[in-house]
Amino acid sequence: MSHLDPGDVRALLEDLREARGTLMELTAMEIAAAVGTVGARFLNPDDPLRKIALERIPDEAGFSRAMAERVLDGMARDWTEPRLRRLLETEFRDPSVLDGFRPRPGEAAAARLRAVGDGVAVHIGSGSVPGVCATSVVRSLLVKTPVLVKPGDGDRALTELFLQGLEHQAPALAAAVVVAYWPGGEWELEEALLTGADRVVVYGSDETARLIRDRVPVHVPLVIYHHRTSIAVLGEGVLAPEALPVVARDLAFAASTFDQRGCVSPHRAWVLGDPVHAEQVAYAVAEAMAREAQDTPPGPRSEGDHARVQQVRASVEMRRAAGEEVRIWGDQGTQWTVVLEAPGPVAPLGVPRSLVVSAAADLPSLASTLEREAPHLQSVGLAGLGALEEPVAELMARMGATRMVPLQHMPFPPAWWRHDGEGPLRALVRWAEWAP
Amino acid sequence: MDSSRTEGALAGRSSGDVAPGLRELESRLGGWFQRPESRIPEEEFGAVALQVFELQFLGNEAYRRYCESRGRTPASVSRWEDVPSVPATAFKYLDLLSAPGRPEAVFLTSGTTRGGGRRGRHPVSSLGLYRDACVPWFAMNLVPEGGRLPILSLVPSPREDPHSSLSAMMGFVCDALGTVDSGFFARPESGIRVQEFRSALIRAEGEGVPVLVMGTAFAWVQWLERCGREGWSFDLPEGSRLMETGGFKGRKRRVPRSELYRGLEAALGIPAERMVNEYGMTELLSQLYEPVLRPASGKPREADPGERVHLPPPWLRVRVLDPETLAPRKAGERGLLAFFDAANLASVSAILTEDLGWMDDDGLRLVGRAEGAEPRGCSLAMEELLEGVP
Repeated sequence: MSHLDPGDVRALLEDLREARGTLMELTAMEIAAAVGTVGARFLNPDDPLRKIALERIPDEAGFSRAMAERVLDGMARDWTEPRLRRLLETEFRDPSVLDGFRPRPGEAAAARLRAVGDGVAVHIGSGSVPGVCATSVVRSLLVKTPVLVKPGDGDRALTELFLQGLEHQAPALAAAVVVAYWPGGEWELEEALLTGADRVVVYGSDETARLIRDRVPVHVPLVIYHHRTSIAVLGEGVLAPEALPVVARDLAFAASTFDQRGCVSPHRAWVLGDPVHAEQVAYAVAEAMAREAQDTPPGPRSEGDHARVQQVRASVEMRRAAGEEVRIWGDQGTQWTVVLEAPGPVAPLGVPRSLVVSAAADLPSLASTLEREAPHLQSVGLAGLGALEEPVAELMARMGATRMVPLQHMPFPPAWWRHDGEGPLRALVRWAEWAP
Repeated sequence: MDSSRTEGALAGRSSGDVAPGLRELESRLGGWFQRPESRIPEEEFGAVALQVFELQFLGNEAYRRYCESRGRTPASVSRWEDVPSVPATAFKYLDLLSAPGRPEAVFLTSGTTRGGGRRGRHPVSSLGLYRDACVPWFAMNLVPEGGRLPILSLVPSPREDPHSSLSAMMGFVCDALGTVDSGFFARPESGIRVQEFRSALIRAEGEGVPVLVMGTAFAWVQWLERCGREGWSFDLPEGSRLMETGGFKGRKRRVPRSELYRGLEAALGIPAERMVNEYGMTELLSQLYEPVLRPASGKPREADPGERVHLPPPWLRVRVLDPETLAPRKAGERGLLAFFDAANLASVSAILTEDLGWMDDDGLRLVGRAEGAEPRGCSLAMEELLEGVP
C-alpha cells in the first residue's frame, strides 16, 4: 500500500476497529491455531509463500540466500501453533483470560480477572531484520487487537507475505491487519497514526523512539523497543581443546546471523581471566568467522561498509604499530573482522560481522567495563563459566541485561522470551478486575 | 630530479636527525605554496613526496612500524602512490607527529563521527607553514581579482576556538585578505551572534562594497532558518561571494546543497554561481575548492552545485581506490578517496578517507561520505552506542 494520506489512515484505523468484533468471537487458542497454519507454510520447502519469501528477502534485506533461509527458519519456527500455544500459556497460565473474566488465582471465588487488548494498535518497525514486524502482528492478533503495521524497509517481504497468508488461511484475521509502508518522515501521516491508535509499539533507534514518544498522546500506552546491544561472556572452560572450536563456532554463528544487525547479535566478547586466554579465543573465533562467511556468506556490502572496514582495520594496525596491545584478523575482502583489545571498555567496531574480544580479570572488572552501557544491554551469551555462570548471570541481570543464554541460542529467542525484560503479550494488554 | 630514494634529501639519516631535512623541505614547499597557480610536474612532485615520506617514516615510530608491516619503506617505495596511507580514523587514536619538538597547535575533529565519541587530533608543527599553504590558494579561489575585502565569518575566531583547523584558516585569511571591517560572528558554544551579523550585513549593503561571507553548511542552514522566522533578507553588493564548507557531518538535519544555495541566494542576494564549496578536513592542511570564481577557463560554469568539480592545490594529489580492495580505480570510476598532501609535512601526508568521488579531466567529482553502512538492526543504532563508549 502506498500514497496514503492522513484521511486514508484515519479511515483504515476505523475499519480495523470494526474488525475487533471478529477477533473477539474467537478464543486466543483458536487464533493461535489459525495464525499457526500460516506460520507453518513458511517452513514448508514446497510452499509458494516460503519460495517467494526466499526470493524477496535477499533483495530487500540485503542477505545472502543462505542467510535468508537461516533467518526465515529461525523466525517462522515461532509462528507455528505449538509455539504460539506455549507463548500464550507462558504469558497467561490460563490463556482464556483473554477470552473473558476468569477466577483470580488465590483470591475469593467471586473475584474475576480479564486481560484485554485494544481497539486498534499501530506498530512501527525500522531497520532491516526480516520477521520482526510479522512477529509483532502475531502478538497483536493473539491479544485480539487489530493492528496497522509499518515495517522497516528491509522487513517488508515477510510482513506483507504473512498478511497474504492470513488472507488465504484466515480471512477474518486478515481483516484485522493492515500493512503500510512509507519511507518515514511524513509528519501529517504519522500524526494521524499516532493520535488515532489505542496503543503504539515502536522498534527503532533511541532517536526514533524519542521522536515518537513525544508525539503519542499521554493516554495511549506506548511500548518501546529501543536500541540494544548484546555481548558474550566466556570463562576459562572454553579453553579446553574440545570446547574451544565449538565455542568459537557458536560465537561466530551468533555474530554472523542477521549479518549482525539484530539487537540479539553479539558485537563483543569478554573472556574472564588471563589476557592470554582472550587471545586464544580471538584466534579461534577468527577461524570460525571465516568458516561462517564461507558457509553462509554475508549479503552485498555497500561502499560505506567497505570504507568503514578499511578505516577500522588500518586504524588497528596503526595502533598496534604504536605499541598498543591490539591484534586484528580479517579476510582478504571486507566480510569479517575480529579484533583483540586490551582489557577495559571497548566500543563495538561498527562494521558488519565483526567481533571485539577482550579480557576481564574478574567480575568486578567486567562490571566496571560495562557500567556506562548498562541501560542498553540485552542478550548475554555465556560459555565455559562453570561455577561462575550463576554469578555472571546475576551480575548481568543487575546491570540491565534481560537474557542470559548459551551462545548458539542468541540469535533466535523463543516466542515467549521476555522481550527487553517484559512478557511480549503482557506488554500489549491491560488488566480488568471484576469483584461481583 | 630523480625520484629514487637514494638522492632524497634525507638519505641515510636516522630518526633523530630529521630536522635539517624538515627545514629543507619546508623551504621547498614554501615555494610551491606561494605559486598555487603553477603546475608542479609529476616528476618533481614525486621526488619531493618521497622525501616527505622518508621524513615521516624516520620521524614517526608508529608510522614507520606500520609501513614496515606492509613491506613499504623508503628503500622499497619508488612512487608516491605506493606510500602507505593512514586512515583518517587513526587520528582519533594516535598523535601522528613526525617532526621533532612540541607542536605549535593541535587541531581537533568535531568528534561527531565514528570512533567511539573520540575526537581526532592533528598535531601541527608549524602554524606558519599551515598559513602559507592556506592563504595564496584560498585567495586564488575566493578573491581571484586580488586586493582585500570585508570578510564576515560565521566560523568562530581562532582565539575562541583554538583547536579548530577551520578557525585557524579563517584567521589567516582575515589577516591576509580582509579589511578592518572583517569579523567573526559565531562562538563555538552559543553559535551565531545574530544581531551583530545582521548589522554587519546591513552595513555591507549600505556601503556597496563587495564582501566575502564564510560559514559551515550547518551555520548557513541555521542562519536561513532565522531569516525565515524573522522575515529578513539582504541584498549584498554585486561582486560579493560566499564560502560554504563542512557539510552536515553528525547532524540530524541535512539540506540538499542546491536547496541551501537557493535559500542563500534569496536571503543574501549572492548568486549561486558565486558560492564556493570548500572541501577540507582536520586531518589535511590543504583544501580543495570549486573553481567557480576563477577567470573562465573556457568551459561553462555548472549552475547546479551537484555538477561542480573541486580542484586540489598542486601539492595535494588525489587517488581514487576500490573501496573493497583499495586497488586504484581508473579515471572516471567512482571510489574511495585517498590524498597525498605535502602540506602535512610534519604529520602524515598519505591519508585514506571515508569519502567517495571520482576524477575526470576537469577535477574531482565529490560524492561525499560513504553512507549506508550503519548496521540498521531491529533496534540497534551503532552510532549512538559508539558515542557512549570511551
